[in-house]
Amino acid sequence: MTREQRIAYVCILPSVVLVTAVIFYPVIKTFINAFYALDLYGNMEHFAGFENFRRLFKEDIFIRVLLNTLFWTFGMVAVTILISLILALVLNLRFCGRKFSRAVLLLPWAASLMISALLWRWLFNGDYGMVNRLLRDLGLINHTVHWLSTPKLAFPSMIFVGTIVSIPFDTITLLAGLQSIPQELYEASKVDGANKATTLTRIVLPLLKPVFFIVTTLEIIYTFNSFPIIWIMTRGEPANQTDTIITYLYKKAFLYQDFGIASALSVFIFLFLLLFSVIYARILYRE
Amino acid sequence: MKPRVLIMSIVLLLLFSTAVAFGASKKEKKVKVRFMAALYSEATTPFWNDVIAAFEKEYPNIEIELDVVHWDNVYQKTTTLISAKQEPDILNTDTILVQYAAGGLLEPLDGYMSAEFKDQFIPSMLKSGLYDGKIQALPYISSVRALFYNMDVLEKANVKPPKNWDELVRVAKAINNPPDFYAFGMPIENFEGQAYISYFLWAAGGEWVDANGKCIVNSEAGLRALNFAKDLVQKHKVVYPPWSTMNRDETQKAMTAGKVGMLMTASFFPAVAKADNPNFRLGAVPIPGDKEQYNLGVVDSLMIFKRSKCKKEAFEFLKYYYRDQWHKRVCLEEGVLPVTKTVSKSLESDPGLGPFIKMLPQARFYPLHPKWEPMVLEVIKAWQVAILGEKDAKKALDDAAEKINNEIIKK
Repeated sequence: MTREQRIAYVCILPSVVLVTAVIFYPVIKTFINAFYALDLYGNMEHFAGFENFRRLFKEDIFIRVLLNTLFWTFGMVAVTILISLILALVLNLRFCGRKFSRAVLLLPWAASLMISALLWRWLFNGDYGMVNRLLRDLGLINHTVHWLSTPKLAFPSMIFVGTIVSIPFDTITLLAGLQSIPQELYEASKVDGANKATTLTRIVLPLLKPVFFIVTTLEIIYTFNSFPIIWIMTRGEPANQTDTIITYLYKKAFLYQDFGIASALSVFIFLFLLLFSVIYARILYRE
Repeated sequence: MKPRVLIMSIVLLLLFSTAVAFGASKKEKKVKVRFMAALYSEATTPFWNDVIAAFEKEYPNIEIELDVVHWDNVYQKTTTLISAKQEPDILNTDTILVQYAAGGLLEPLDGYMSAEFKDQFIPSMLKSGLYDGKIQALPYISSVRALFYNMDVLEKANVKPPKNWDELVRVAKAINNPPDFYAFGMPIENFEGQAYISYFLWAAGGEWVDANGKCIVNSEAGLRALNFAKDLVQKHKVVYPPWSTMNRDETQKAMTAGKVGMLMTASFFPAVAKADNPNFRLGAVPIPGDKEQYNLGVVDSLMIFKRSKCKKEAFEFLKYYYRDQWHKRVCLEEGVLPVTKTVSKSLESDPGLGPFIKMLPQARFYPLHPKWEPMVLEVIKAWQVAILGEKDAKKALDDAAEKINNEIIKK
């Protein structure tokens, strides 16, 4: 080892210690906990094998929560990515006020997620909320809609909020991807007589694929793990009907104080997301 | 040269910080008592700060470290602290104390109390902290529940406040005017759904648990209670629609804003309502009964953890709080009811609190059950799915009772 290498090791040591302590240790501990009976405060009692998992899969609400999570994740990501892609394509064009539009787009991202969620909770309030007021003034509804108390409406409402707050990041990232496509390719395709649609499908989208992949994966993982919007707007209620797996996990741990099931559920989520990332990467990079 | 400088500076930094620590520990000889209090209102923090300042003046060797935590986070924070063996010395919270007592986490206080100290409490209040034959916690404050109504609305409809279930339905129908105004608020959700379930369950003659601690909310009376609540929502359509998501406090706000006509809630509601809307005319009658007439009383508690290293000092602080001056002040500021005889007597003629103090003797309390919290969450869920029509009422209650008795209590 040269002197320089030694210094390098010394320098990264604090980060290694920190990452081990705050990331690896909890993950490993959770995996171990999942196979133990735990008391009300999360201390180990005795080895329990797959008992926690058996109890988890026996929960009558588990399938419902899982389906909610898939609806929440894929519903939101599909809508967000589609809108972001269109916005990115528009913002990539040259037009007057482009810089201004890009700045405005970033604004929702600057607000903290908690504050956005709280604001939207009030906007969706049945009695005083601006959403009802607006729809009533436009003549679209003629009675009070209690958006967040009706399970069938609560989820779409929250997906709407999630979409609004996710668009800026996705759009900016996709826009960066678009701008990295060399200008010559556009010119060449024009010379060869490609129309706009062909340019889009043959040049732009294929070259955007790596960025598109990263944005979608990140977005799916973020959304899957997203907690604040649901927790602040409905707390997963009524009767777990708007719970996703993450809010359910939190409830199991801190409301029911059942750390055994909560650990089993964490392991389940970890493996699920890992599996998903591997499959997704395989499909995208098959060629 | 450079790494040496770096290492030297790290060593110096470490030396310096230990020196600071030494200096600090030498100067400090006070006993530090950590106290976690629940946030009741904006008056809570200033109140405790005043108590602590006066206490520390009288006991210069004790320092109280106050941590006021929002009710939403009290359980979570305590659980986390207990699992890390970092719990505070004194905790102010509610019925969860049974769980801690059952887990052997609390210091029984019998040995600390003189006969005279013990005698100052209203006996039923002191009993609320009794578990396993020992006093595990002291009552902090209490409240009773009543049916509150919008006086203007009832007068306009020319109806009297209801005394029983039949009258409740009749009055509700008379004043109901959806979608802008609903007759009845019934927040059955995780925050305090157990209170609303108790109002109906007890009135129908039902119980949460039997003498052996088995959950019996699926009894015939339990089913009748649930069906009554369900009819209010589905058949009579008199219940404020966000009943399953809006909590008690938010529903109180809806009532003072003139969206809800009647609401069963705690005796501190008038104080809150006055702050929200000074012109609001609020009336109160005992909770309507059916087969039985009961009133729900709730006692919040103060407890000392067994692992605390300064239990004696912590108890001194609790003793200090029960001086009339402080206990009375908290009752008046938070609109809650007293737990000591002298303060109770002195507030009997208070126009705000007096009527509720008179209701206290008929009050019933939640059962002291070590699995109370998870039990309540299951039963709330069962009521919600039944009222929403997702599941048959009988089946929902049976499933919940089975899960509570076979999984939650046994575990």
